[in-house]
Amino acid sequence: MPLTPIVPFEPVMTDVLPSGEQWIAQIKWDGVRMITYYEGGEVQLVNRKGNNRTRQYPELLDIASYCRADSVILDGEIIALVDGVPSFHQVMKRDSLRVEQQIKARVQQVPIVYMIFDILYYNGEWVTGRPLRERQQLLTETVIPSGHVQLVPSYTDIPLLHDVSVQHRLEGIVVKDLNSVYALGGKDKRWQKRKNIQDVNAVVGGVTFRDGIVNALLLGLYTDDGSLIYIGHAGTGKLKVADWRSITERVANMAVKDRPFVNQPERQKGAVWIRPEWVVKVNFLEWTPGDTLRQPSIQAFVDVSPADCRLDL
Amino acid sequence: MHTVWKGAISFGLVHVPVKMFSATEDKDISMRYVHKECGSPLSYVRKCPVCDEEVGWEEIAKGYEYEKGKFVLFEKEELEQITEQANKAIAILDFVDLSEIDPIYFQKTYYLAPDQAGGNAYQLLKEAMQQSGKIGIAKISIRSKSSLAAIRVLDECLAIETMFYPDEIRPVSQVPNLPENIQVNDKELGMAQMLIEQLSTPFEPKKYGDDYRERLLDLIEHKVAGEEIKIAPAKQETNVIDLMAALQASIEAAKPVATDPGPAKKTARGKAKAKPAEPAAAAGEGPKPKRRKTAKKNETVS
Repeated sequence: MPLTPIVPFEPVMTDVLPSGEQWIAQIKWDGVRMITYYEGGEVQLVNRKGNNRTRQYPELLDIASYCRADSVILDGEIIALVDGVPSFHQVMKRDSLRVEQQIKARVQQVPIVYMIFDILYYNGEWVTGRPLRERQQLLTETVIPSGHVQLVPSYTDIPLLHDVSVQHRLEGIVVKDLNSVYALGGKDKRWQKRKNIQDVNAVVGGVTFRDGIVNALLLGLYTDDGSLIYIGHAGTGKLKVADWRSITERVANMAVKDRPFVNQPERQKGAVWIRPEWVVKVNFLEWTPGDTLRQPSIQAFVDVSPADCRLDL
Repeated sequence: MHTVWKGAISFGLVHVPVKMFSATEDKDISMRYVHKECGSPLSYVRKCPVCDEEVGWEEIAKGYEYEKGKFVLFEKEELEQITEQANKAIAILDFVDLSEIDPIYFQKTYYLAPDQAGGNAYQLLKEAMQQSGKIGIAKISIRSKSSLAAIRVLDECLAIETMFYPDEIRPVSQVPNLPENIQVNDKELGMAQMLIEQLSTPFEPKKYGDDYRERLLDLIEHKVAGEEIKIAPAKQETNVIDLMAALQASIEAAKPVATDPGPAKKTARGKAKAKPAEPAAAAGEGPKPKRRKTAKKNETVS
């Protein structure tokens, strides 16, 4: 049985939390989705897009230390904390590394935790067909929590967990149907997420400068017909002075004459258009009536195809 | 050991063919300069700043700057001409007592071994020196540099110490701030002498090791083995277990309120509100405060 990478199940966004005996709520841990594959031999970590990230997280390679199984597929989120709360920007400091030496150096500097919430395969058998209730039971029997591995707890009081997640400045909650089976590659209402902070992966189509240094990114999303719609500009967030300097340097080779956005950005004066190749994860408060982001805040550059950044609201 | 020099000791009519070996080795750990970004060791380029081009060895001569910016150039052959004629000989000039030579003169030690059929002559010289207790002062040229040297018997071997010429040694009078005409207190002197007495011990070189080198080697081994070395104590990030425990505490603190119907929230509370606010049985038992110490705790090397 060769374990080929699967596409994990995705929750749908909701504003109205479901209620009923079969629903439980979990904290939505803000990090990178990671699927662990093990069938004896070496552990493989693969992200949602099918990219292998095994080398990036050496602390998860000794699977026997956190999982009692001869073979297994685990689903979870790798997180890194800043000031006591998960930070996507922080975990990207690990996820984005490719040089072995740097990875090793950062293991200590940026500790990570694998927050496991599902099990898809166990001792040679797919368990995706079993209800979540049973998969969770199996998880508690299989996974041994440690400093780097934790099981995501479930709570029955959904509104309460939502309140607590707001109180603790967390990303949000995911509500799941205990009777539901795991659909590979699926995305539907059996898992529903409610976010306290909204975010979007947006394409950078231009930049503006102050004193010769890039000070804001002009962002866009693709429509179904392939045109890039401007959705706002962001100059605040997690980027540091050094990041802006490096952006400034790299922008020089990416400049294009024509505006990549089909609509006219409100901030156009002095803007330099660039090839729409970069994708940034942006947090924001809400969509404005003019379909732009309110208070966008750049979280990190992400390894996502620009074509996948679509306006689907 | 590889031969660093080959020649003969000559004194009077005695001629001792010898090979020379370095008696000491520099164990300093050398590091290379590496480009941080890609990890490649740097290459050095000999470059002429005026012509702005790289200069090959065949285009390079040695030059002496006799006046700022003015050089006289020398070819290799010109320099070889003036190296001492007796290039291949260690000519013993005098025999002296070892105690007459201050250690400041000694530069580097080499061992001498008999070459070819030099065994008898070598043994003769060694025996004679051993019995007289004298050491020979000689002149030797190694790689175009001519040095003063002392030949002595070391265990069952002849050794040669290259020495500085007297004019290479700076006079003590150049040292600033040496005390003059200061009377020392007899009592204090007595104390100091007593202390010296107490710390006096036979010289046991094995007692002393290069601690820095050992620490550095240790550090290198760890790095090579792929283990992380903590340079500074890592900043203690709040643990996820703390966060999970805090969440649990918040849930529990809200428990009494959970049974209170309260004002309707925007979300559909329905049956959920009356339920115990404990983690669902099926879903793991919440945070485990027990932290497994599986993570390798590397020695803090700093």
